Amino acid sequence: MTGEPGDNPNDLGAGDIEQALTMLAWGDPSVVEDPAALSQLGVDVPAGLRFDVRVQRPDTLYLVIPSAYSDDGEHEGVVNQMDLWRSGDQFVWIMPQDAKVALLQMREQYRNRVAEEGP
Amino acid sequence: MSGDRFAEHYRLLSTDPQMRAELLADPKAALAAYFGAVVEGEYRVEVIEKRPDTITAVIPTPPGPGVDRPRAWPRCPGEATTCCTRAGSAAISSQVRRSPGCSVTCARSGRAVAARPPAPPTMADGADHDENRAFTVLVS
Repeated sequence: MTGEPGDNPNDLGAGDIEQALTMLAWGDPSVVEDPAALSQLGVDVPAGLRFDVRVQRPDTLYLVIPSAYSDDGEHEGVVNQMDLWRSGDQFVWIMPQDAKVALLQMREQYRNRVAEEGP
Repeated sequence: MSGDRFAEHYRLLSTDPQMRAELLADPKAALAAYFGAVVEGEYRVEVIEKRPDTITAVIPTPPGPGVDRPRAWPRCPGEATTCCTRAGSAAISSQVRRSPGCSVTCARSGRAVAARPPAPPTMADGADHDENRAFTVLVS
């Protein structure tokens, strides 16, 4: 692969997993229901993690709610609020803090694969 | 309505299984029941649950009929995924900060970050697809 991702107009999906996943989901709506969607991009989801894909609808507002806790006290002071929103054309990742490293690894895995094999 | 009302709702959704179940079953009705009303209009509300074992990817809305798909994504340099601090201030990477046209913002929770790239390219149909290439990360 030469140049920067996106240099070639035909390189849709090159470089960024966000771009590739978007193109995949736009082209094949069944991806949303496929728990192994990322495998189509050559990316492995770490054991113990689920991967959920949603394609935004223009008539929909999204409400992200926090994880359910069984112990009220420990998390009583934690407020991580996101009001109703619609990002429209933005790609959004939603995950627990602990999964952040896993996402970074998956993004890196995709980049490395594209660099070696192409999109 | 004070912000505490929203914060309390958020806390209850974490700790009250019944309230959580009702919201998941019928979001608009549950929000109306708690807050007294919701904005009228023809729209849906979809709940995305944060779960300790789940990464959710929310894909942009597909282009409408007659609108060409973008050919390439302009990118902000740097990694937006590392930009937000728990204190709510944006710890913007130097690369992003130096890039004209790029901006990174944090939500008031301090954990939502959005990176917006420079001006997008003009598409084949002449339409600009602003924000198409940005992505947002919400962590908790």
